[in-house]
Amino acid sequence: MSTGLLCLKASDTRGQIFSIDLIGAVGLFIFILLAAYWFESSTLSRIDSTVSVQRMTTMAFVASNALVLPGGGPSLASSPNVLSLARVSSFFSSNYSLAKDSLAIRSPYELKVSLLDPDKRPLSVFGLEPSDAVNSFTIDRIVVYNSSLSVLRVEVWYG
Amino acid sequence: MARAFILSLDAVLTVFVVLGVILASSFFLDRSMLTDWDSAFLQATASDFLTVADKQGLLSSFMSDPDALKPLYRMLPKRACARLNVYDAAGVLARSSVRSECAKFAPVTGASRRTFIYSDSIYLAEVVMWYK
Repeated sequence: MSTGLLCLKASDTRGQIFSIDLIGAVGLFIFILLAAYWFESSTLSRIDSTVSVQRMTTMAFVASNALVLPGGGPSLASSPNVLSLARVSSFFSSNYSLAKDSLAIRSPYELKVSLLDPDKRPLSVFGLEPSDAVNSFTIDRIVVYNSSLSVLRVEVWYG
Repeated sequence: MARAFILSLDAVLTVFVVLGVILASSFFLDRSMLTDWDSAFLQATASDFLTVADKQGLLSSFMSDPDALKPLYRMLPKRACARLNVYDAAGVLARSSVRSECAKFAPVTGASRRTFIYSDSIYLAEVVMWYK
C-alpha cells in the first residue's frame, strides 16, 4: 500500500519536469544555440577568407611597387616605371625562394611575375604557375622595357 | 500564467535586442570587408599611366595627335577606364581624351597629375581612372 502511494506520488511529480513549457524552452534554447553557433562559424569563415585575400592583395601591391620603383633589393627599375635590362635579366634567372623572400611573400603564398609585351604576350615568366590555386590576385603595372611599352604582371596565389 | 515566461515582454525585448546586435554586427562586418584597394590600384595605375606617357613622349605627341595615347590605353586592365585632361598654365582645358567604351563614370576612382613641357609652355596632365 505504501509502495503504491509512493509510485503514484512519483508519477505526479514527473509532470513538473517534463512540462510543455520546459520542452518548448529547451527546444528554443537549443535552436538559438545552434543558430548562434552557425552565425559565429560563418562569420569566422568569412573573416578568414577576407583576411587571406587582404593579405594576398597587400603582398601583390607591395611586391609590384618594389619591382617597378627604383631602389635597392629586388627593384627592376632604373627610374620609376622604367625597367633596366640587366636587373630584369638578373631577377628572372634568380633563385625563386630568395626572390620570394626579398619581395616579402611568405608561405603559404606563392608568386608569379611575368613581363608582357604590348599585346600582353609573355616575354619572360618567373615563379610558380598557379594551376591549382584556390585564390589568386593579379596586378598589372605599365612599364617601359627595352624602350617599348610593357606590362609587369605580379600574381600572388595560394593553393 | 505560468507559460508566460516564454512569451513575456522581457523575452520578446531580448529577442529584438539580440536580432539587432546580430544585424548590426553583420552590417558592420560587411562594411569592414569593403576595402580601398580598388581605389589604391587605380591610383597606382593612373600614376603608372602618366609616368610612362611622359617618359615615352606620348604626352607631347598627344598635343598634336589625339590618337597618340591609344597604345597606352591598350595596356590598361580590360575593366579599367581612363580619361586624360590636359590643362594649360592658365588652367584652361587644352586637350581631352577618354578610353573607348568608357562613357559611364563610376564612383571608385583613382587620379594622378603630372606637369610637362610642350612648345616651351607648361601643361598639367590629369588622368582619372575608374572601373567599368
